[in-house]
Amino acid sequence: MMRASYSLMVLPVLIAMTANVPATHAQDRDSNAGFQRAIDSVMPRVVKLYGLGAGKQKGYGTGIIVSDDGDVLTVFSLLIDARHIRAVLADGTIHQAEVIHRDRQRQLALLRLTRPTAPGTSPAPNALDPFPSFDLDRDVNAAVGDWVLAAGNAFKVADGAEPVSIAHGIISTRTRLDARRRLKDFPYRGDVLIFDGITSNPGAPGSAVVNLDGELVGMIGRVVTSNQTYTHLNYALPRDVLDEFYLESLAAEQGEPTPPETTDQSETPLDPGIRLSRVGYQRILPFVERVKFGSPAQRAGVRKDDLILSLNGRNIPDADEYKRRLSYLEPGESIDLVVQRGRAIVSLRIEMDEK
Amino acid sequence: MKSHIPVDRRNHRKCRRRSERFLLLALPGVISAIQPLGEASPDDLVQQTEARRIRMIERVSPAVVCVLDQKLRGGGSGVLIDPGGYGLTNFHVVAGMMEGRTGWGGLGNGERYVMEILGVDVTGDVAMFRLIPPDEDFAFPFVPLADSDQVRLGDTAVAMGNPFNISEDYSPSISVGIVTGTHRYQWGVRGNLTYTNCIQVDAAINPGNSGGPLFNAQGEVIGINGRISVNTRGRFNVGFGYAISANQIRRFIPALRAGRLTRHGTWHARVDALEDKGVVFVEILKSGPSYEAGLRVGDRLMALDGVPISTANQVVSLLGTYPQNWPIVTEVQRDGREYEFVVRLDPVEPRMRRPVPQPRIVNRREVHRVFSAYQNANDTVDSPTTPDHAVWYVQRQHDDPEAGMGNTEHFAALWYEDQPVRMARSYADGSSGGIIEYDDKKAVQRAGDAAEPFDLDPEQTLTLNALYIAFFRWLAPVEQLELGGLTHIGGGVLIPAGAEPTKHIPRSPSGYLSPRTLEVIEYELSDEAKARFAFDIETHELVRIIVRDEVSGTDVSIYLSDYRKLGELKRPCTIDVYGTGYHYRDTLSHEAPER
Repeated sequence: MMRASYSLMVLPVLIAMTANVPATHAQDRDSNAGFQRAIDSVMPRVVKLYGLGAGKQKGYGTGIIVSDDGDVLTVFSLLIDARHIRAVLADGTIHQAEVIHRDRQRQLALLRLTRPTAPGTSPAPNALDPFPSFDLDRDVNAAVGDWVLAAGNAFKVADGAEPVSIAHGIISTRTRLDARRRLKDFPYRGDVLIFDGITSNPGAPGSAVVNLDGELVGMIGRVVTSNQTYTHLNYALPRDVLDEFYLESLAAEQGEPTPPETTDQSETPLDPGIRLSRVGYQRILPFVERVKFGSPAQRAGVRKDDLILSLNGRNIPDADEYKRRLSYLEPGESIDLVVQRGRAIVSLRIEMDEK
Repeated sequence: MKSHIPVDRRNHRKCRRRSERFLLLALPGVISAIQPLGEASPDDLVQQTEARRIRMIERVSPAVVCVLDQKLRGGGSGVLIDPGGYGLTNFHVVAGMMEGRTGWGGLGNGERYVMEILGVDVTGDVAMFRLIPPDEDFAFPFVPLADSDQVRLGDTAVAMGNPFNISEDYSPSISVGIVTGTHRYQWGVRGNLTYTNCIQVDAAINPGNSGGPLFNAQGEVIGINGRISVNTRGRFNVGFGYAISANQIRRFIPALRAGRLTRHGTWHARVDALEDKGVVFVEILKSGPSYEAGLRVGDRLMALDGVPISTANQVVSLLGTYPQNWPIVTEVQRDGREYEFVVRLDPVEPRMRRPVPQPRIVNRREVHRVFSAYQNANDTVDSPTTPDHAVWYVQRQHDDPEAGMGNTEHFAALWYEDQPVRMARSYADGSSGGIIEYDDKKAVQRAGDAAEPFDLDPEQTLTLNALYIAFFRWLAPVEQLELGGLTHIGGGVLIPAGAEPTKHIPRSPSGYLSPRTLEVIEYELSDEAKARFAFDIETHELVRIIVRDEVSGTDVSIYLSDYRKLGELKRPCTIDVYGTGYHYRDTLSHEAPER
């Protein structure tokens, strides 16, 4: 299975660059007519979410309404761990939201709006009124090069009934990510849509991405960085993935067993039996914290507190690089390590077990 | 120099340049929109659009300024709004230049001009500068300000400036995007540099873009770019730029031109959104203007300057866009009934770490400029000539509280060498009202020959003197003006005739006060009396004169409208005079009115 990386995007992006501003810009006096339909459609279907925040994890985000009785899709994040999640609709009405289902693998969550609690809103809308919603089931035409708008609560710029921020761009490509969220690899392995506009901002995850007809194309995913370029990725989970998750969530709610989370064996890196220290800020030095008993590493003589300097001749500046280098190895391939032990430099060869 | 958005690494998003070729077929939504334009194929249309945008950029970019300090270090960007070299930038761009109030401004033609810093709006992060023209006849390229209330979400927005000090020859960098939010509020730093009711864009705004213009598709300035949202990635564009709206800036322009430290307005009241009650006044300072206007705690705020209010945030955001003394129309609901009050905003002192030194004397030049503009707008010949003697007919309608409008007088005035010498007065019934004789330039005396003598009260004397000055003295060539006693005191707002003391004020279609911003010149008529002459900053017409008698403390307001060409010159042909307890309207003509 090939994992297209961010740098591979360059080609599709260049192709996509030759696309242009919607032709309605031609009408000078009416220069936004091309986006107006999309804006009108997306605004009432997006909710501002407020929940748990800690440190750099902002306590705000975005969700999209996917059913007329108030099911809301958003990303899996700390926000939804709040005791009370607040959802502010486009008209400023405030609803409580409860978590119905969460999916670590796709990094998605399903919320449901409960009746409005509404300080500062008037008049309280009829609780039985259907919510304006996106139809996840509907196949939407969205090709590479198409214009899209993303609408969401990025940077928390909009308050109450104020319309959320929009961003515009084109679909650069549909691909898979080799990305991480801080130090951890991003677990989602399915397809994503990549944009040329900047969509990766605090609060933006969960934003609706729509085409110029205002139809849902996808949802902005969590803020992640590329493993190749360390830049933020501007991507969305496509509508079909959202639909899949939504149907599963509803099934799970009905008590049907969820399909087991499939982990792709080929994606698991080889494990010589070394656990590295996790202590460090920004950069974690590759100190060996523990060596698994009976592992290839122990047999080769790796010890606790060794500092790994290189692996198969490659410099290993930090723990991330160690993991990445491991992931490139073929099963059975031996590993040449150079470690610093006290003041000594020690070379070791780990012979891996054949699988 | 500390910049609000300091210049940082060269890690910026390139301006997206796209040629439109094959995309259109994939956009069903677009096809219908292009049909009104007739036969053109989508390809043609795309090319036309692009060509139009290129033309727009070519047209406006010469007016974009690269702002540098005295030592030619980069600070930011600016834009010229007037052929005299007047331009706008951010205060935070010139904050480091306030000591000497000079710097340099580079234009796209590669030339650099000495820049003088005029007024600053610290609260709103705006500053005005003037590039010194190389010679008297030199006219700078400039661009108009748009009505930014018309800006809609999704509109094309083009930012220009000098991000990252990238330009060696001062030609601006261009980035194109759309308006991604309107009426935004961005908190300031200790009350300063607050962006209220601003425009949010996704056109790339980077350090160095500060102070540069944001254009609409027509090439009008909708705002001044000054802030961006940033996260952990560093200080560069992440698709969230904010521009101070042109309409906010316009209200401050006269004071900025006069070189003043401008003050925003406050109403000394606090509103809050209460459950099921909407936005309600929760605190009102009794000595403040809101209380004075009639607002009370518990009033529910429905609209502010015609904008319906739904959040308390919105109120803070809107109020931040007005200068001191600006009248705000406030619609409230009290006990189920609707009321309208007009609040004259109190000044807010900007918080300054150290005082901003006043600029070199700009008064003389500014007074001169205002008068020149007035003359240019109203003269149709090079040197004004009035006939040696001419007869003017004035029809005066008194708005008498008892008798009502329609109590009409007629005057026939004889002017000799720019001066009124005699004025005959008669009433509607044909009886004579006497003859007024003018002595020298100022005094107005009453002469006999009247069936019944009448007294000209002091207020009326002041009024006539002011009118005299307005019509005749200022029509002398500007070079011969005596500037003593004249002061450019900043700006004002026109409340149209008939609206004082203000229950009803007409609004622009977007709901705001009709934005006629004024430049005000004060003139000392005598030790006891001052006149304030207010000119519209767009048309340069003299639209209002307020004469104040310092002794009695009474005001007379004169509104001049209906400018028409009479003889060689444009003259206001309708003059409304409001004094204490009286109002009359003069209609001027060269032809005798029918009785």
